[in-house]
Amino acid sequence: MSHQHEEHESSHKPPVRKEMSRRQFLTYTLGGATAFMVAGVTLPMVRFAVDPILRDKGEGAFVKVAEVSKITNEPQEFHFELKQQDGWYLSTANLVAWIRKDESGNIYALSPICKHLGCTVGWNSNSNFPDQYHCPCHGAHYTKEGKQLAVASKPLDEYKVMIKDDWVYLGEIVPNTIVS
Amino acid sequence: MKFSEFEAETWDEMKKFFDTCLLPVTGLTGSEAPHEAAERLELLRDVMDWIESPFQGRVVTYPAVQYGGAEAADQINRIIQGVRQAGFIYVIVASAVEELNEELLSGVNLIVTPQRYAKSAGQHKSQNPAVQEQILRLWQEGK
Repeated sequence: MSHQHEEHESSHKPPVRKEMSRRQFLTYTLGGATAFMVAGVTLPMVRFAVDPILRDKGEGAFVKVAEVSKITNEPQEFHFELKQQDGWYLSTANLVAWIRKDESGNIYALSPICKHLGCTVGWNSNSNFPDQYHCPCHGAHYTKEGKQLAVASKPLDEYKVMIKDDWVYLGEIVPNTIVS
Repeated sequence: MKFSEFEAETWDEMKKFFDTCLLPVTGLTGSEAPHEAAERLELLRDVMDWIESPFQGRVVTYPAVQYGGAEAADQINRIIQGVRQAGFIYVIVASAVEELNEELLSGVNLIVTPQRYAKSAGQHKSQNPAVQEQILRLWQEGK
């Protein structure tokens, strides 16, 4: 898998500093000292919702993640990074997507964040739930399209997908459109 | 989730889902140069990621014990007792202090340090399959 930064077209980029943001400082002083560079996949969901820099873009930010030829009917886990700017500060989000193509050849990517309370689900990770996503925290499980089957009240979110030059690009996280 | 993300009004309803407390122990002595203190915190952050990232809907991270390592074991044990009185069933200590062990921390369910789980750290920094497996076993076996 590859890491691709979005091309910024704007000529008025704010200066970038690799310093501690206010959020990071509060985390330290509260004694968290944890994930101060961004907390897993949940933060990007918030960022895409509220970050004006990202929202101003026409299509939103897309990151090059996987070659189309590598995508199969079986969901596969892909890791990628997203650089984000929080005002003056640059941080990196480490994201995960489960990507597959359906019977019609359409490629889609699901977020592994459980819609119950935010744990990370795994594909085929529990032998009691074959060919499903399963959450180890409270037993939520989902179909391969992300439809919730127990515990969670919503399906797994999707990443926006763009196919370009035989590569899969992933964008912002949105509510599931496959099952709803 | 972090302790600071909960609200008084909803904790009573939420607490049935959060039965595991993560207690970070940084192990600072006060004699560190500023960059050394930052490095230790970063090391601890990486260890905490192994636990917080996959299990954020069941684990509550409490404020860190910043100063003191093995010599602070008594204090840490008192904190663990307090955390259990607060209602947590499982207590995990994440620490950059390699000297902390189950003999010193009698009330803990699991101790996670960089060295203990270095070999099983995944290709991706926030993942450590062995740590995840230990926590799942803890929940399944109830010990």
